[in-house]
Amino acid sequence: MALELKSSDNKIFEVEELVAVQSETIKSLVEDGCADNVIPLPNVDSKTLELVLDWCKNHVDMKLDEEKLKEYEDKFIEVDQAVLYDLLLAANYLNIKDLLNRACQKVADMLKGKTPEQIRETLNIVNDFSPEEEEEIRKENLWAFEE
Amino acid sequence: MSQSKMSNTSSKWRWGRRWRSCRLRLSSNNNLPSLPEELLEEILVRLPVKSLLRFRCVQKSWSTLVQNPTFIAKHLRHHQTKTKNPSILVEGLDKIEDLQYLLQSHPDEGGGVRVLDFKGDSMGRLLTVYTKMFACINGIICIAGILRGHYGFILWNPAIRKGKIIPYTQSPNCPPDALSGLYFAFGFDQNSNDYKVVRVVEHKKKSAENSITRYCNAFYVYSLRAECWTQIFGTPIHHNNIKLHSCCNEIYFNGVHHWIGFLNSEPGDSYDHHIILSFDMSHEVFQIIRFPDMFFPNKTLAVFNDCLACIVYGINEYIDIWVMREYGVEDSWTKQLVVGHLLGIQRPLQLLGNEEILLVDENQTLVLYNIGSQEIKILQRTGYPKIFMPRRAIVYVESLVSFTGGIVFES
Repeated sequence: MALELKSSDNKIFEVEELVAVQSETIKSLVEDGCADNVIPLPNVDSKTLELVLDWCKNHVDMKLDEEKLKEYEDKFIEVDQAVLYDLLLAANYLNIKDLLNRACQKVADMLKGKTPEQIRETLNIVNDFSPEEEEEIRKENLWAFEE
Repeated sequence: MSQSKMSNTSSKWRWGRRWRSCRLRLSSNNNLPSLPEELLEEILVRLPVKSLLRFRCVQKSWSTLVQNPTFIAKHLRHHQTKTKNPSILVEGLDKIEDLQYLLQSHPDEGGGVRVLDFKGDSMGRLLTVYTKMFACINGIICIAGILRGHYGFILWNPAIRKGKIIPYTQSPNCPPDALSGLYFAFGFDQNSNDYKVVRVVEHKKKSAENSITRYCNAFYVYSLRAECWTQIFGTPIHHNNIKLHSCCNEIYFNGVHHWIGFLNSEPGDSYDHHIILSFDMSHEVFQIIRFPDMFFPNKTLAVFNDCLACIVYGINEYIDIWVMREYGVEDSWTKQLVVGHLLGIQRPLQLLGNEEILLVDENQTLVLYNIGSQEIKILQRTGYPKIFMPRRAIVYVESLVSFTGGIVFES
């Protein structure tokens, strides 16, 4: 059975149910009988949705071949930061556990060696510590700031 | 990053609010849209402790999160279930300097081993000589040594470099004694969520008539919650003549500490039986488990497939791994597999998960052998000491758990 998914930029994707239900969000819609018409996904653009559906399809196709799947996953997640973030948010919204896991791990690996300043810049975070407060925290774990 | 750009996107960082969806617009520069709180947690949980401590400076909410007991438990749980490439702590001796060292392996940084140096921080200043290291529980290890001139223990989290001192000369029941001939254990009582340290004091008595040495062991347990030592009396062990083995082949498994010892049962009995003496941390009871006679000549206790196991070696270049399929049932010892043919290997140290075995070769080099793929990996040692003899190893999982302000626990 095929389902129709509509991205935020109004592109329609026709997908087999077996592939689409890798998303727990879509799976619940199907189980509740709400999947007869086109399913709107206002939080995922077409570029990202295409990638996500590729992930889902390959996970159905390569289910029995662990090695091949791992090779695919490793290649899949090698994307630039902006795409990675879109995938992360999409995987969260669509509730696709293995993609979410993989994307979170990749982001974690990306953040691992950074300084606090770099983290703030990357994630758009405003520093709400006063210089004295920040210095206090640094002093508590000085060794963590050394290489 | 201009203010106008911030107000154009409708995704904002909000503390305390769960966002399942957010409208995102890709920015053309390096800056990325802000993450919802729950996703941020999922990412932070995967970070090593050192990064998390550094990131406390990023923002107030991050500092709070890193110290939150629920997050700490989640972080520990994530790293405990990650079974690939575990980190190892190896305790050993520099025979020339006659000093003990603790080495840590760094599988994510090229796979070498380095000395875990705590001399620089506050604990190092207290601990002048350390002698033994025990099980890693929730990221915490227990070290016995000399603190401020007295013998004591430190419960230490090497990842956050914080610990708690447990002196034992304070208790009136514990006589001061030499460090050799003492046996210890570190464990966790899951029923009362309490960390415990066990101390065994061995007394020897040579019986004049049949010149059999009788061993009388006194047992003391320290409870972290109660902050005191109590002596355990009246256990069946006291009626048995058990000499605990002085080699480092004990193991802490499933809330129970296991020592290997000799049981000298009857006068006129010509040989000693090798046994396991176990101590259950929750119920505070001892049990004796016997080995089959064919476990000869050398044994190291280990864990395999969530069961108590025993690595038997010493006859040839093969290593037998026996598993006690049903815990406590002596008939259930089963030979699970044979590892080999390993040339140049002196002895096994520990099983890592079900796939790898840590060994020491003739040159005292640490070697990792993958049972399935038969791949051998040498753990390169960098830095001091010049000569290092590994004695025991445990799997080490990092955590943020500390002892200040409430005990964080995880089973």
